[in-house]
Amino acid sequence: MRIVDVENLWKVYNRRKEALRGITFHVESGEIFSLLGPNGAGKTTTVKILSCITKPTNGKVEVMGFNVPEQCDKVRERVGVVPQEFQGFSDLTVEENIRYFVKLYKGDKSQVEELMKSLDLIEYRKTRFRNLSGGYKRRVAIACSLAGDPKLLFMDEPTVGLDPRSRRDVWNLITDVKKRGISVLLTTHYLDEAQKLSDRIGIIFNGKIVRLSTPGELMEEFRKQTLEEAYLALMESLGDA
Amino acid sequence: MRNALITAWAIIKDNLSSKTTLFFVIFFPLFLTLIFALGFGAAAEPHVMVMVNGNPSLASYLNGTQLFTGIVGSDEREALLHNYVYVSVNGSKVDIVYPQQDNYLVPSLEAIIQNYLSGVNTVSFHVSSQQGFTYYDYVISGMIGVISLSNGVFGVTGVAAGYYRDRLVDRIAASPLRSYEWVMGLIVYEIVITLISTVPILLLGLAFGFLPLISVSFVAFLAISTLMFAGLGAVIFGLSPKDKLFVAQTAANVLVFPLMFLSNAFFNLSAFPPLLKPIVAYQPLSVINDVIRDLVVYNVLPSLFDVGYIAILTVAFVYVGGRLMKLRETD
Repeated sequence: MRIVDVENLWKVYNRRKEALRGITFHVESGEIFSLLGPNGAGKTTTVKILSCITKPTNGKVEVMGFNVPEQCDKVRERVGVVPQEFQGFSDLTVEENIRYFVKLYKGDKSQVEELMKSLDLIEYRKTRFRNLSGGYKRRVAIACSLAGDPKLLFMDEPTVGLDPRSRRDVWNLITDVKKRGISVLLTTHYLDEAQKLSDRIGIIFNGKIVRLSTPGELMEEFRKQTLEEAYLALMESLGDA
Repeated sequence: MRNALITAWAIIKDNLSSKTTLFFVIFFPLFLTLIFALGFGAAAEPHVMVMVNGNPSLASYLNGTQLFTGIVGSDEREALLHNYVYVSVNGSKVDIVYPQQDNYLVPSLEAIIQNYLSGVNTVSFHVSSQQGFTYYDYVISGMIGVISLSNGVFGVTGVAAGYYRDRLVDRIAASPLRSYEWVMGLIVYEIVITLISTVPILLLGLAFGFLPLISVSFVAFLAISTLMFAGLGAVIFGLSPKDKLFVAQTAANVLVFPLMFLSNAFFNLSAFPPLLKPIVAYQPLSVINDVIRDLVVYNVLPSLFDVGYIAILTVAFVYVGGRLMKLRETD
């Protein structure tokens, strides 16, 4: 079952800058789908449209069966989002930040405790958000995105700027999220991350999807050992070496 | 509304946990009040001011005495509020109303006026003193209006800009929070901090002998005036490009400081040049100060025009601000 369905999606800023030029892809229920591509390729724009922050210029977008932008209220209630470089209320504690989002998503009070437990945040519950390390801030971001028990998560570059250990922690958390039956649309430009986590990938380049496949299929196509090598070979073939 | 209150609570807690915010909420208004109260208070007056009604040339004559500074005006209440002596001349009848502490000056003033009116056969003086108000009453009540202005406008533009800069808004925009709930959350926060800021100002006023008349109508009006200025802040922020957040803060500065100083907050309307008087009299902060003074100083019902004027501006600014200050493009 398709949980995200995008057809011929266009986004043009200020009637001139074409950020997306007719992309088509879908995300199956229960899978981790990664959008890969260089900076400025259109990954964040795609996530912003799917999470109902930005309007599409043209094309059909359905999230959990609801049309975007017409039924955005319903989408926002049902989807969790981890934006790039998430910042909470900096002088609220971890617990207060999570409680705020649980209340916004009309989650159960007990969910605050559950989320802190499942994301190993109990020890930091009274720590102000501003005093957390990058890795723990990302944990809080994920906890907040799980408020209200969403069935779909959009994660925009969730490991950017993290040290290797924190990145690994976030990977484990994403894997746990998938185990809970939550579908994930992930954007990243870390190819090792995409290879480890993704069921399927979409490669976006200059506002267009240039490949839709599994990491294994792409590696096989370019006869490479890693997704990174295969990706670089693809980019080279597109003239972006 | 539930989400607006949840958000307001988060914003209040977030900001009041910050020492910088506490400084601006509590100490900055206190400093400003002290500067104005001590700098321009009665003690700092180089000459005794006399407001003359009905005979402008008498004001000029008094200026030549080196003892009194004469100004022209007709508002007895305003004169006494500023510790001015009020002189009303009507033919040969002269009324003198003076602050009680200036009674020793009255014989000299009478003699000077007698001398000035020497052509008139019999000058009859009617002299009375008023315990009334002091400049401190005036400046502290005016400062309350200034707090609602600065907290309202700077609060919304500053706090919202901070949350945009921190990218918290990116996350909130993807949540079920609606744009108007976001604006209401910010406005409720501004109202709360205005009420908090007002307490130390009133306590300072007590130290200067100002006994404010605190009533429900005063608190309600203070909340409404902050709502109006917060709405104005939302309009400014809504019109500013989000990739150039400094524009909103610059625009707020450009607007707030002239509103603050071209108002009756610190100086009487009569102290302004004639060209500026209509602007000073009818700009929102002056009207708010008039209402606040009616409520906390004079204990009279404010004029219906003043209250209606502020109510209309409040509805207009909050409505337009709420429409402009969108969380997301899809709203």
